[in-house]
Amino acid sequence: MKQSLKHSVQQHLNKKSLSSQQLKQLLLRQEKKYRLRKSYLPWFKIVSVAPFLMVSVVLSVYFSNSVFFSTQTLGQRIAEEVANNHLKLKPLEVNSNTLEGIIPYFDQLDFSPLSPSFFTLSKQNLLGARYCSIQGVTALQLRMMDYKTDKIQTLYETEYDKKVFMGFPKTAEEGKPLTIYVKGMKVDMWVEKGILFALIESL
Amino acid sequence: MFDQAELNRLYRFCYSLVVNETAAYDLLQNSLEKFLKSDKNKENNLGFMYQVIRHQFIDDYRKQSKQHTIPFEEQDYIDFDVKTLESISINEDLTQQILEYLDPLEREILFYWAVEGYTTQQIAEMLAMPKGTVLSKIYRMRQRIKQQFNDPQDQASLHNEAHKK
Repeated sequence: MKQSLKHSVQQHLNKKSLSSQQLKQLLLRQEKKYRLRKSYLPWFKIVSVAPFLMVSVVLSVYFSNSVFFSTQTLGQRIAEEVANNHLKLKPLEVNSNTLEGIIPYFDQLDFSPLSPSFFTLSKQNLLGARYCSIQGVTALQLRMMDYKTDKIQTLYETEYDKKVFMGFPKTAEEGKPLTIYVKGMKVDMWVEKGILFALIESL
Repeated sequence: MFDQAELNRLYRFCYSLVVNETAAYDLLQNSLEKFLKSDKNKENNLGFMYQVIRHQFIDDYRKQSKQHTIPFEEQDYIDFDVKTLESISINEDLTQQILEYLDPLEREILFYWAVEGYTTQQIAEMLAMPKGTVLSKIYRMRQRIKQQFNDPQDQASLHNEAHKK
């Protein structure tokens, strides 16, 4: 029987179909692949992100270490500087047992000297003060005598210039003292109201 | 994921390319593997899969078979359309023979036209060929089918037609 080519081809090809076994196999193959993709996708994401994470960790460790290192160095440097200064006991430029009596003399400072909350200046132990510098920044040093122990204490004050004192510990920046022992002396350093304080006393 | 109906549709396409049931299943299986490996979630998965099958077929079969070369002059645009194929009437029993007689590209065109109902333009897009080339192939296919399978009366009309050209 004759019929159009289109109809014949259509009919002939439409008779062709996959067996149920073949269909099952192909459907299963697809399902397996999609299940596998779903299950390994989070791992794939982790694996692809892992190198970036590792680099981030290494960099953060490196930088945190270097900041720590530089902080220690800075703290150490300040501690050693004030310790040397303390040991020299250079003559005081003004003698007064009150801060109010001292402040008018220090009109060349770029900051206003303060009485720190961490340490109490009392009339009984304040001897006087003089100009000095810490890391090149003009500073003030207050000399005190602890009459109970007969030991001299020196309190240094300078403007807390972040550019100069970059890397100073955050805790010290927030007023919690950073303690460093140097040359048999204890040096406490902290920042309060924009002033860097360093208190040194012999042990 | 392709459902049963889509898989059967793809299988028919594979069959139209290889004209053998086992080979068609193999072609579909291999192409599906490639498709799944591609990890692509295309908007038109079926269209993409046709392309995968086509490329897989070219890799597997066309390299092995003799390339059917077409004379240069026949590549020129000929004012024929797929509709010209509709004028061909054949004996129903000859369909399989015709499919086997045609080359893979001709069968592919036949599949798109007869089963998928595509226009010449759509077929050209699927084959990534200029429309003129597709038209010349259709013209040539029509001649070949008529010469090989039509009765003497049709042969005569074909001869006259060729003379007019």
